[in-house]
Amino acid sequence: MPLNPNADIEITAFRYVPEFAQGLVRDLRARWALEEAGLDYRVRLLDQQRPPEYLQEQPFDQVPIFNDSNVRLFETGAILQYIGEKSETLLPREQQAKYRAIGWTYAALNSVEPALINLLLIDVFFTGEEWATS
Amino acid sequence: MMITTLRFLRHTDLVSQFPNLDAFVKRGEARAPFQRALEAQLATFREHQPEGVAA
Repeated sequence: MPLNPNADIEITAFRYVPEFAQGLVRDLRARWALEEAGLDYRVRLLDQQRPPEYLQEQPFDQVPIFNDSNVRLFETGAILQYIGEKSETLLPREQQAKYRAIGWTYAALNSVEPALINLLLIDVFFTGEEWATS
Repeated sequence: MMITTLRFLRHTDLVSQFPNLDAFVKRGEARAPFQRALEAQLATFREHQPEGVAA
């Protein structure tokens, strides 16, 4: 069971988010990769109001961050690549297959997510606005 | 990564109307490691549910 309070790997996550975001918060990416890799992790929970010093760890004030005894990371793309380097199941060693996986990770973050996240946020925060439904 | 991204539109049929994408997302979500990861996130929210907010 990778969730382990004594684990070397630590990630951050929110203590609570509204229902629309439950199951979507991006610490899910780190948790899933760690589960696939079979790596134990612990979670440091944050309130919606993060302490100002959290910006030292995550300059965009988001979750998750990742740290182990080796590195401190933010951005799920970097975090998943790092976990992938530890697990051949997640990230193949053969160069073409490895960079195909990395390329699709960039595609998710750069080509797909910006459009999809905006649709989600419009639907959540501007429900019923005429411009949002037309 | 792509599956957790496509899930942002779970409240619509914009992704699920494409059988290949629908199958791709469902295949990922069916994995035991995904289920454990999701449950871990949701368990924290259940534990810290504010007073007066319906589950």
